[in-house]
Amino acid sequence: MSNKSRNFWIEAVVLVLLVAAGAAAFTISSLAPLNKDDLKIQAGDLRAFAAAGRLLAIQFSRGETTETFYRNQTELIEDKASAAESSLRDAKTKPELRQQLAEITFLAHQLSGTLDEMHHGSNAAAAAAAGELDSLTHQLSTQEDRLK
Amino acid sequence: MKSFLEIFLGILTAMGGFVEIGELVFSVNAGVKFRYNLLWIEVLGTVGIIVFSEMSGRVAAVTGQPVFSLIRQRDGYGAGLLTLIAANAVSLLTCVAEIGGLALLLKLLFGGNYFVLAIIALVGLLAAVWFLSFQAIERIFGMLGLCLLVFVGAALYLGPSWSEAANGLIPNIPQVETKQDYWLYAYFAVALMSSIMLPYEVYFYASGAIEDGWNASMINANRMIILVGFPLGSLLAVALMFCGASYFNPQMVEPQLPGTAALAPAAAFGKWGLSLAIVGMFFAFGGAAIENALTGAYNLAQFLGWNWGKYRTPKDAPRFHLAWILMFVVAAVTVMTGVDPVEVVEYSIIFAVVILPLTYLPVLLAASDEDYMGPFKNGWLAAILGWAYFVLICIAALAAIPLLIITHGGKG
Repeated sequence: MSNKSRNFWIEAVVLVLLVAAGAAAFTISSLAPLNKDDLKIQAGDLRAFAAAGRLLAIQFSRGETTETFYRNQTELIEDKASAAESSLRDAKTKPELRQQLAEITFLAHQLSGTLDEMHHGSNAAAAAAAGELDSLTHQLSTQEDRLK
Repeated sequence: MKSFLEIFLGILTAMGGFVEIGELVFSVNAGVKFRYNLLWIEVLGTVGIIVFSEMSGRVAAVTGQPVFSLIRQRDGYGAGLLTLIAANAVSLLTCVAEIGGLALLLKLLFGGNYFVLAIIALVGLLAAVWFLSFQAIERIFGMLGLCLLVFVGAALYLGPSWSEAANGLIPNIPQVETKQDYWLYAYFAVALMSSIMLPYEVYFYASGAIEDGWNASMINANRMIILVGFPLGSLLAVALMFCGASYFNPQMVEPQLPGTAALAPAAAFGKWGLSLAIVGMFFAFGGAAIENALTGAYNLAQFLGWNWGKYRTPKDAPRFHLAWILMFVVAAVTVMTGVDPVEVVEYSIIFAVVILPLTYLPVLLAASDEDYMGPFKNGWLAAILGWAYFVLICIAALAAIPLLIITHGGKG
């Protein structure tokens, strides 16, 4: 085997090993129980969804967006919030973080419910939803700060 | 007059094609998380893409050699093949993100099932590349991408902090709450720079120069298009960061969907602002999807010595045409698995940094080679900037994956 050919195979094997190591790390991390950082990230994501929903509701109430945009954007945010909620429901964590996991999961459930009301409710429901989402944004932000 | 018009249209096209889904996501969120502190990276990245695009365009115009021919010649077959695999994987991931982004935008415009809309986007993209000429694709998608200028208007309307923005132009490390936030700042710096200097832009630019039949007489036009078009395009990215800092940051919104980013123009100009933002994003993402699919086919054909070029009929270059069709189809099938396009783009941008040195070194070596370029070789300024940026992207390439892991994929 020539040097050129040997170098190519060495490079190819290194690349395959790197990809395999990345895949293994990803699988292990997705099976591991949630730690403080993971929980903080989940709370941060949910806070961002709540804040995005709140802003959308306010702008729709002011007539700054179309109804098609409002309904479909709400559905997209709701999908993300519901996915986060179901991953939190299935998650395990250390005993000292269980209380916070439960609280964040409850807030995630409330968020999904509010977004669902926005998605399927009347146009007038947007203003009421904005208030609820504002409260959820601040509660999730507090949870996020407690985990820092 | 004709050449002036060509340059003018080239500048508008370069400007309209500057922003794609990755840059949109990273620029707005960089503004949300670090306000104006990462503005200097926008400037640094823009100068970097100017330096390497000018070189690759000049090499293509003088020698008729696109980037992947140079990579094979200068890096050798083994390293060249690895670069090809990595570059096409990144282009495929970017194409996935753009098609997913298009489906999201179609949903916002008309409603409907996301997966059906992804298929409609795929059919539209295939039809656009099949039926339109290379120049028509560039012009239509580039020009309509200029609707994104509504973000510049929104950034000005929403009242940026000019003093903070001026300070952000100077390289800085901001005061942050935790040590982890410093890592996040570094991650955003690397990702933002990568989103501006994505390697596919250089592959596509050089291949496009050959598609357009450039020769040495086009060198000044090449410089003009890049020196004016790219900084103007970068204004769009800066405007996105301003919207993030002045509008989304105080409201604790971190846009993770293109539709959320469009709320800034809606706040400034109502439904018209919203519509322009969505149309602009639609053509910007569509243009980027086409560029990535064609780039995958260009890279493969140039590396393996196949006939290539959009100007060639499918009968003259069958493998090239099959390759871009496959890029689109594989990307759309990946979208169908339900992957989040925004998460995909985050990974594609970080992996793109890793291959930047392997992409830019051959361009730099070829552009500096007097035997190869004759009187058109790099001058002192291009040489200094080229090597300085090469060192910088090597550092970024080494830091990218560790930062991705430390920051949990940029989440903090």
